[in-house]
Amino acid sequence: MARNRHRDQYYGRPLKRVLSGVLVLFLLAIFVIWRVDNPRMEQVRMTLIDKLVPSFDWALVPVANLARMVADFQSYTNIYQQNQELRRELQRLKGWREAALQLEQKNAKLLDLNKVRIDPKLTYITGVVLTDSGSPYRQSALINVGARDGILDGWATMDGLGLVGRISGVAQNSARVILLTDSNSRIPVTIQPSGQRAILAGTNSAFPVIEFLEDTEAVHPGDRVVSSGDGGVFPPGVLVGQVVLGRNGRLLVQLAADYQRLEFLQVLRAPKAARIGVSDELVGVDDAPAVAVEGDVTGDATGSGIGEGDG
Amino acid sequence: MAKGIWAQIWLGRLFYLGSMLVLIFLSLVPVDFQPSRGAGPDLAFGLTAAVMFRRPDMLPVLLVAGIFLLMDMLGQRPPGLWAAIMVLAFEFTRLQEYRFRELSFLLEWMFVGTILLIALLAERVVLMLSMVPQVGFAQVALNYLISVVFYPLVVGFCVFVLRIRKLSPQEAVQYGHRL
Repeated sequence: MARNRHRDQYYGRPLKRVLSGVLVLFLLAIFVIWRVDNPRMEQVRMTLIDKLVPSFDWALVPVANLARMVADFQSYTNIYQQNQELRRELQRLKGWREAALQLEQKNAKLLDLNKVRIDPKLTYITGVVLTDSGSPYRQSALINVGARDGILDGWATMDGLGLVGRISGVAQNSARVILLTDSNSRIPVTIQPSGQRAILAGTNSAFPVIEFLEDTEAVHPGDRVVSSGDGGVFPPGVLVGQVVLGRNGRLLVQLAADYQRLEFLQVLRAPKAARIGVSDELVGVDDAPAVAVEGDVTGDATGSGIGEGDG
Repeated sequence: MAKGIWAQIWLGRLFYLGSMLVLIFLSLVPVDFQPSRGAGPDLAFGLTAAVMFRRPDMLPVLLVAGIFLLMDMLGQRPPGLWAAIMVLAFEFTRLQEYRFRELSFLLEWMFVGTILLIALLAERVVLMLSMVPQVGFAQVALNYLISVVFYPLVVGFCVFVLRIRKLSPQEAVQYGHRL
């Protein structure tokens, strides 16, 4: 009897079933549109996030701080050990500080002699991190500077010490930063001191992988990895991290940026970032002939020291 | 009497919506940007399934679709796909729910596990066919197992905190036409 009633209710109400069917088709249509015209749909997504997130911004900050406090409290257990380590490190750093001061004076003198001026285009805008990516499989952050502040897609972001990621998706008041650890992240890097070029690919783990390396013999764990600026997408010379050896002999990078504490991000203004607007066009070739691209890269190279100086 | 039922249903909807918004909110809190090894349980799926098995009348299809589309949008997932799969999965669950009323919780648990498995496989197949890069299989499998293991806890939350429980046969007869 109860069963029959059920049948009557659900099979007897075609309107509800039609509504569900239409809903499913509508949702699938959104997916197909996203697949076909990705940039536009991502823009819609960014606009939606831009509208929603600031409305609960007031709650995000205290909750994040509370979570950090809990994490800090957990680390009290090994605080003594940390203290000892920090003392030793401080001792070593004092030596470095002395060396750095001397170098700074020397550098200032040399700059004065050469009448060098820092490229005014290579400045940065600092933004506060608003939210996480919202998914354990995506590594990105939302920051509170956007089109209003002149942010463009493709600009590099760093946390003051090392590179953190690249802007991908800009709305009026916010922008999304794809972190270097995201599985979609690929950036051109140079490994010092051997000077080899490679691609740093995110793998959704804490250590991105070095790919397309010509000579693995010349690279050792502990080598510095900096952005290379190939293709004019990123400013060259920004610190990325250190080479470490993975378990199966793969070369990984330990990132210099502190990914456990990303609160403020600096967005580096690139003079000319490649625009990614339409899905079926090549990136960075629209109006720039080969010669102009060449000039762009050298223009970046003059600013290489400044990128580091800012950080 | 009828007024009381409506108030109860709308309160249930409100509780469900509130819990889902809290889940979304917590997933967005920026604490640690270090990628974690394994993802936590899929609580959104679990809670929706738990409510659907208790009181399907508290879950209109529009609410389910809206919540999951919002989660797709905010969670940087391909928008619409997981929401569509969830609507299909939960509408199917709605049709099957009456079979489980008098059966033990174990069967419900197995049913939910199977639905989630099919949903995840369907998502992978569609993503593969449309050539969207996707997450490694091992990660998703681990996430699936954790989600299934956590299901009884989610049901506990649903019953004891949100106070959304199955109707007794007596009550079911009482409001029979509405169930």
